[in-house]
Amino acid sequence: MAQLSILTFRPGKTLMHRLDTRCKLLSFIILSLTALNAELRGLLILSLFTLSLMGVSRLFSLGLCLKLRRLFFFLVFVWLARSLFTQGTPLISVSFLTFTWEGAADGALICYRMTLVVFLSLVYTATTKPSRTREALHRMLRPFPFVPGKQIADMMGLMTRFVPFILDRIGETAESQRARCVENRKNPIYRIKSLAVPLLQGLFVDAHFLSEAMEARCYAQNQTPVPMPLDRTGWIGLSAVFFLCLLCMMP
Amino acid sequence: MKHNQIASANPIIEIRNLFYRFPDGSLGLRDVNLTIDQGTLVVIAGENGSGKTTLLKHLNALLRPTHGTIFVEGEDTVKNPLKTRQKVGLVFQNPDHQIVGETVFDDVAFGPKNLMLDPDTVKERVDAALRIVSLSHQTDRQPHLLSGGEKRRLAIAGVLAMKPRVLALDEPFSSLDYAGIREVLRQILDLHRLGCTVVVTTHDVEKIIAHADRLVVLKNGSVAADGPPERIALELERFGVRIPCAIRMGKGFESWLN
Repeated sequence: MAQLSILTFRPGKTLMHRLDTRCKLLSFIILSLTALNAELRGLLILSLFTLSLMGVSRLFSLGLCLKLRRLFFFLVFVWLARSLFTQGTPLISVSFLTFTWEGAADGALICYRMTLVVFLSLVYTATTKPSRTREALHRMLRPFPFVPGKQIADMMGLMTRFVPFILDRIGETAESQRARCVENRKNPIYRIKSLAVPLLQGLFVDAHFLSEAMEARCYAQNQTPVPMPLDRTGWIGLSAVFFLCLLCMMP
Repeated sequence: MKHNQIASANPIIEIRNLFYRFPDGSLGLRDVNLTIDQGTLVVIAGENGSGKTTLLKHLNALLRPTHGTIFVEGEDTVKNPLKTRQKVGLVFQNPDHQIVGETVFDDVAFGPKNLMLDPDTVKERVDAALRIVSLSHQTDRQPHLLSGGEKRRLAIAGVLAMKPRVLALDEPFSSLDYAGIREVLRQILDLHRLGCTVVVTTHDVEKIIAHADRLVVLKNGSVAADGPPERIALELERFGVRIPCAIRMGKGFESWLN
């Protein structure tokens, strides 16, 4: 269990760790939406901002880059798919496949946006405890009538709690299958099936044990509230993010 | 009283005619009658599938008896499961399954927060529990990065912070190395010395038998033997439990802490 995913909380005392969770959550939603819609100039500004956030949060490390290599493969796949299936000026043609200039440019932009969103999520999850996210969501949803804020917040909290478990379980199951030479089987459906079935079974067992352990310690929806005083730093941060996003979206 | 149950002077747990049937219809526990005295250290031994974990889950009200009753300090566990869970702290076999917090501090605070205690009391309890298990210097660490022995101690602290009257540990020495076993054993004995009633289940009694006040052996969901360890130890292999090495060699019980 020691090799946990990158999307887990890392204890620290940086400015990002101390920032009010409600302001941080709102800021990251705005930043992510901007990243998904901005053009190249806006993305460059956002990249600089994200890198400085990572610096402030002390998130730069070789281990982190290594853990992100799977994301790199995924992005290459997205880029290739976009380049091959977008119509436009052909750059290379091999048999029925045509690699287009427009597709490559569009694919690169999409990958850039996705990378930024991943890095923003990384900064948020690494600097925010799931329990604080849960509490922040609960407080943010409280003013809305007919919205079961507490249940939604609880579900989100449990989900974020369970993500490392799932990733860990995927890694362990895949490794145990590789140890028994699953790579010799070339049929992808067979490989997906042999990974998915034990994975799901294991996850259900894990979920059962986790819920039992929580019940054994009197888990209840009404818990001691996490103190969350809204300070000036949070507001200043949220306002700064808002103006930065406006700047990024300006034509 | 059934079987050769020991007469109790100061019972904290009373189990009467307990039967438990699993959802698949098989019988997990059959006619278990036990009384556990306050402040004692009781070892429940048995081979795999003998019903040890099922019995522990009943003490913590995680399972409801199919038939029979369990009283913790005179209160029926079925009628008040939340109160029971406060009184009987259950430490699971695999600490990874028990960890719910993002940091050591948060994990220990999980129980007290569920009890709706005020933040100052939560902090007080967490600090005290971490001090007892010697993890005070690790408050900000991620629980999953602790060693096996430390994780087990964290699981114990998570339960201690709820101030239970009984500490129930399910196979506390499984998958630990020698140092880890000694670390956890020392912890259990310290808590026992502080007055806590301790119930330990194990299939390998060697590690704790020297310190037990009483040994209960389960076989196929029933109490097969119950009494002082000196009397029961020689019969253990009849029930699928290995006799401690020192006893086999004709010596007395030997502590793993020596």
